[in-house]
Amino acid sequence: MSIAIETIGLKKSYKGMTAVDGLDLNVPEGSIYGFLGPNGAGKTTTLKMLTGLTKPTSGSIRIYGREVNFGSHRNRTDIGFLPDVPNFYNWMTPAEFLRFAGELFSIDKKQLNGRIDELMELVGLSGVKKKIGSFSRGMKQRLGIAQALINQPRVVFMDEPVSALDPIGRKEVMDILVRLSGRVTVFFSSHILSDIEKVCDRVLIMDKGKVVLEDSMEALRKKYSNGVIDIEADTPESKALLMDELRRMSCIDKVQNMEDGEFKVFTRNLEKAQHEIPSLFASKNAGLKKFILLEPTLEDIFMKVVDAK
Amino acid sequence: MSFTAYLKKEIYEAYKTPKGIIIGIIFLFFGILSPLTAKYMNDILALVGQQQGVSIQLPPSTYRQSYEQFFKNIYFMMTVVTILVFAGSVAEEKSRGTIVLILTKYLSRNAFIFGKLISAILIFTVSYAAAAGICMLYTALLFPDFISNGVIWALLLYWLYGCLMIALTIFVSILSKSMTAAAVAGFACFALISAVGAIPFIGEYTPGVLQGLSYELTNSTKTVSDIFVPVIVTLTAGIAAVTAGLLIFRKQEL
Repeated sequence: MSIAIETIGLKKSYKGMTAVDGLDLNVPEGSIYGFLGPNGAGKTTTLKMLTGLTKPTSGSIRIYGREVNFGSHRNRTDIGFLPDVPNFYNWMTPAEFLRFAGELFSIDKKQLNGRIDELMELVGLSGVKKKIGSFSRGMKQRLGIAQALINQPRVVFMDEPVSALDPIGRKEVMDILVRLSGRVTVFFSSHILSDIEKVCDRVLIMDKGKVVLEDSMEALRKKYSNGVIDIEADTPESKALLMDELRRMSCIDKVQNMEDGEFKVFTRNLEKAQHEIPSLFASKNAGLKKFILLEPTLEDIFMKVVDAK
Repeated sequence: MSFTAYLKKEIYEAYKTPKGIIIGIIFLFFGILSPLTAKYMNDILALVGQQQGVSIQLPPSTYRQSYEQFFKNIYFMMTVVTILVFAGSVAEEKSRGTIVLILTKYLSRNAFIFGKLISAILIFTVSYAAAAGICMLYTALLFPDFISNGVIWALLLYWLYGCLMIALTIFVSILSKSMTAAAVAGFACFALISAVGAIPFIGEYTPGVLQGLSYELTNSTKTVSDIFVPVIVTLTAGIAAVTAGLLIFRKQEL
């Protein structure tokens, strides 16, 4: 898989304060890449450098192998950008703004008409003819996504696309992002971890300008797994019998009683426990109603790595 | 093509928002008012005098007074309106954040500034030409000997001065973070031009004397050859403001 975004030693300092400190990025093509961090971590500064709006103090940026130079518009055909609070010309209608944005890329008129219809449909603004000035925040955000996609970019940068939205607006935007999956590389920053968790293939966590963690969601869940299994036996008798047996197993650290037929198993060796527990149920002729590996949430991981730092 | 699209949007915006309309209405108002004031002011004053029992004898007004009135009115109003309307051209895009959406498209920073500059000059030129045209028309209707070669040059001098004010306003708009700051800086430029224009020996070669030269051209006390140096200085100042603006804007982080 080729690399869509690559940065080497990216750094940005403002009057003695380092906002981004030696960021090395390798974002795979087609991925939805979550860029996390608490407020002031350097997310917006990084996005502005990646889009050529801010000059890095040092380091280099490449998008699909083409160097990004501050202030230059040369690589703009490859990118789309949605700022945290997108602002438009209030006197325009959404279709007028998209047409204007398309014309800035010199897109052929016929092709542009089709593209506008397609994007208005994608973001749920089809048939909306009122002026942007009367739009809600959510509608502006959706139009912001549409304008970022007008040139069919290979990479879309989104800065906190859902942070300012109500739950309905957030869901609408997240649904659009899911639909983009695989079609375009999406690099988006957020501090709403549950949203990132739902849609991202890979995440990077940044704190005080430095990378504290970068990996695929799958690898992170594995790495930060607590090794806890949620189990439910079919009868109270089975539960009592099995809890005793489980406590004696070497791969298990602790068994915690829960309501009804449920109990939690804290493992020492998760892989071994995943094999041995079902076998034990089978050997005792007990029914297994539930067997769920409790995975850490991104919030758990985030708190762990940011706190540890 | 992206530049054309941007320029088209800027011009369209001037007439979708009050900007272009404000300039047009104010300029036209003074274009109509100036000849009427010149023609009837003497009569009004004589009438007022009569009512007070005082006999006021004034020489009959001429087309020159009509143009003088126009230049006087337009000099101040043109400056104020130009600064207020165009001060936000770059600063407001920065403060509202629209600039970020535009400059992440295929539009260079130079094209962005030239789009602002050219559209502003076009809007100003159309409004000014309409006002000057109306003023000339009314002057022709009210005064039989209505034109001299000097009037056309005087009108062109004012147009040049307006273009300089636009270049300076856009320059300060590039430097500023808000429309208010840009407008204050624009008025400071206006004050500086007027102050430098009043300095003996130096002032007569600067844009500050264009207003005085316009009167003199209309009255035929100066000829076209007399305006050469201040015109060159004005053009140079305008080009310098645009060049400096472009260089600064290229380095601005957004």
